[in-house]
Amino acid sequence: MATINLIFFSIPLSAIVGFILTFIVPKKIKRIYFIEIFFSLITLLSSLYLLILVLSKNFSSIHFSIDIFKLNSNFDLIFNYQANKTEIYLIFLTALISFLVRLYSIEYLKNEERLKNYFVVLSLFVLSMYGIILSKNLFSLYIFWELVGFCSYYLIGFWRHKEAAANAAKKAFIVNRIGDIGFFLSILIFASTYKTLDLGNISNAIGKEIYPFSQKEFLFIALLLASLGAFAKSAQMPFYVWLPDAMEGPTPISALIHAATMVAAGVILISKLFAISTAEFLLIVAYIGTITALAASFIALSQNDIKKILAYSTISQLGYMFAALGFGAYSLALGHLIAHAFFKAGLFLSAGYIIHLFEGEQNIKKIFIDKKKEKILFFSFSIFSLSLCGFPFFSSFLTKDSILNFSLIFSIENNNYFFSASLFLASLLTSFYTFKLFFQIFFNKKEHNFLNHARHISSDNKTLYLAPIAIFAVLSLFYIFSSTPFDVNRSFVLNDITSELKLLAIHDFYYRHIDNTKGDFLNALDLNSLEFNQKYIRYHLLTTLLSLLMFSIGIVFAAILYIKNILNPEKIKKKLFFIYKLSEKKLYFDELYDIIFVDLTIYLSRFAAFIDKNIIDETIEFVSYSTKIIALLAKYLDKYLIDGTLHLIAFIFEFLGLLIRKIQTGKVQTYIALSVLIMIIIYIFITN
Amino acid sequence: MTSISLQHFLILSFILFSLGTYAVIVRKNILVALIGIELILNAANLNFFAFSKFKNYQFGELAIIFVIIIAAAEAAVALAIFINLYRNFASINPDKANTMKE
Amino acid sequence: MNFNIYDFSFYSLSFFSVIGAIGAVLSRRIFYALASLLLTLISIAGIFILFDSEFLFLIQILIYIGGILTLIIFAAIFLNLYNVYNDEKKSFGYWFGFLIAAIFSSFMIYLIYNESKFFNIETERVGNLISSKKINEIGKELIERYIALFHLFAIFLLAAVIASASLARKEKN
Repeated sequence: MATINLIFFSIPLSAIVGFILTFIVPKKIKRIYFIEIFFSLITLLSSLYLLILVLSKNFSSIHFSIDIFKLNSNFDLIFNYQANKTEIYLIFLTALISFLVRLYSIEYLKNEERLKNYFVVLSLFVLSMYGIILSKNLFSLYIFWELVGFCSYYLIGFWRHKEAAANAAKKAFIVNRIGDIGFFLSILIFASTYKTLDLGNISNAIGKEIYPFSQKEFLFIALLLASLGAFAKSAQMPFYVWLPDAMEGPTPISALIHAATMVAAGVILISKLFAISTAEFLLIVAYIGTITALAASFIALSQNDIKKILAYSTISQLGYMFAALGFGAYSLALGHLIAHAFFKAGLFLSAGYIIHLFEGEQNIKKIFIDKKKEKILFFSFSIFSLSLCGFPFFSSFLTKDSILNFSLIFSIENNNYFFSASLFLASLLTSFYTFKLFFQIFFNKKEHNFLNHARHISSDNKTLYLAPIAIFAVLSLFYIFSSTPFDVNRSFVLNDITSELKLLAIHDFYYRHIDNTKGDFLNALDLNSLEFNQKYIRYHLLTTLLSLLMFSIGIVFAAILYIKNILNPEKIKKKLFFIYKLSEKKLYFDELYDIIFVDLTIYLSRFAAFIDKNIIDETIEFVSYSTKIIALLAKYLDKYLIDGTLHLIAFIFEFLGLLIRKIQTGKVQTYIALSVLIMIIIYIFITN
Repeated sequence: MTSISLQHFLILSFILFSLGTYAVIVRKNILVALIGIELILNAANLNFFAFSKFKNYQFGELAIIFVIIIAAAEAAVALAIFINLYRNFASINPDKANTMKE
Repeated sequence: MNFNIYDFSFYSLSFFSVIGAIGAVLSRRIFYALASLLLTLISIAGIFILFDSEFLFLIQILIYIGGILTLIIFAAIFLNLYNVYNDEKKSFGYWFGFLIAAIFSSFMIYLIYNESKFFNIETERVGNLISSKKINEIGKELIERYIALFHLFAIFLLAAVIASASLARKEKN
């Protein structure tokens, strides 16, 4: 027991220590290499050991927690971390990919000046990824979430002098931030309602029907807000705009972050929230995932840059994962995540190798590689491409095929064929663009391009490039998933993950809403029911046939267009001009955002400037003018009114004095008269 | 015996008094003022007399005597003053003696 | 109606006194005024004797007419006022005094006829006159009861004589 704990704790510990050491150690390249490789090797070996434990069914889950504070009984902040089998798989995934990517980067960024910064932020990223995977507390998850976003920002804009890279980094960070607002708001809602942010406690409370603000709708809103964060980080519609631009960063980063791990964080978040999800929420997730899968593959059709194609394919596959979560296929989503991570990382590393061969050229229209000269690359690339398309025998066939099956059942159950139609169409498009890429690079010898030859890298250390690629290629075969390539039910990975569902204490919201009378949302699938299993088997063959059909249509089209120039793609482009433009311009999302946010802001600022200049300055001028007038008024007031009052008073007194002086006439008779008068008055008053 | 009442006397004395007051205040001749004073005093005498007759006011008759005595003394002194006044201001108009003005 | 000598005498005497007073105050010539004053004084004396007081009658005639009036006539002659005709303007004070007089007189008449409220004097129509003192009674009263006043007035008269004599003396420049 203690050894397991020790081995487990060595993973985050070595990640932290590696990060700190890389940070503080004075820069010397060999030293940095050593530290990085050493510590990531430790994490890799530890996670491998744990994985073996899991595979041999000897594993029991590990918990640990860090008490941050406790506010009497009102609110407590305890960072809980939990490692179940699912987390072990994901940690192994992260450890392996990060290790191989580090090896690759050693060669790729050989002449880079700021290598130390690169590795520091890279290790911080890996550390935060472990944090996301292991976190059971929403706030701790949020902290690592933000860290991952920051690392991604830094690494995308690693080559600071490139303005495109700096802009792409900003775009990535800002779009992620927008999602993070939603996530944070949902954290606030959960914290205020449940007084705790521990997911286990929250799901217990929800099981007792304690909803935020006592209404189930608010749970939906909270979940939706959290999913905004997931959508932004995983580049779903409408937040996907940052990922293609993020390809400005170094290719190993694209492999690690934007193929395998960070973009998977969104899926991980939704899977953590799966236990407390409601059917409406999962429906939204399904919609978003499906739309993204279709739209991204559509955009990828017209792209000509290797990394952009791969980026859109990432978005599309993530859409599949979200769709799977939306249908309720929790384990399929995570399984697809794992499979996708390997072959996408492999694809990116191959792309990096290709770019390196052609000294930075990324346009596939100008690249041709002789397959005889780069055998390993060719084989690996073909494995990756077939796996991406979900061809049988390869890893993602199991998961993708099942996802398609699920979507079919879901659509049939609810008489809404949008999901299945879109996903099948997306798989068609996927195979098309994948093989467009493949054929363009390896089969389409360009006539008049100037880089028609690949450099022969004799001085470079090719192994560091090719070994990771080869390893990923191996991992893209079916073996890692199940003993038989066709039966997903035998997949040990998926079974392990599925069994975890019970541990998560899923509440029956999901299953409760199988209610045909409620017409507002679609019926959820009851995964545990016998009838579901029967349906699954019944439709499985249909699904497999359909997906193979899609695959063959796609590959045939790609072959027609791109191998021997049977059909000129240019003519087709002209015929389908509008569709092509829509695809090429990324569905005009960037332009839309530009108008909405940038132009509006500029307009508002111009408007504000106009107000400031004309109204406010005019007001100030008017105020100063009126002050002058008031001063003049005051002067006149002072001169005439106040001085006048004084003069008036003086005059009155003078007048009164004159009047009263008249009494003293000096004449006796006047005095007598006055005294008589007064006597009379006194007399009258006395007698009255 | 007689229907003359106190009120008759009072009215008579009032008339004489007011005429005397008129003479003192209004007339611009100091001798006429003196005459007015005398009239006033006479009116007062009549008043005293009336009350002594009708109200058994024993001191009334003696009062008359005293008033007349005082009237005489006062007339003498007044005339002396008037002569001085005439000498200084060359006029018997009291308004001329306004050096005490203001 | 019965002819009452008392009433007739009183009314005629009072009439004459008022006539005289009016003449005294309104004349433009000083000697005419003095003559009217003479008439007034005689009438008042007559009133005195009508009501049984001979002493007062005597005092009035002797001192008032014989002393004061004579004195004033002397002063008038002394100041050479034979033909002086006072031409007095009717100034503001004239009409002001008139107003005062009107108010006062109306008030007085009102009082006199409402004296039951103010003076508590009942209107006596039937005169039950109290008889006046005779001369010897007056003399007795003076000496016995008002001796102080008597002496005081004596000194007073002396003072008046001395004062007037010294006042009217001509300056020796």
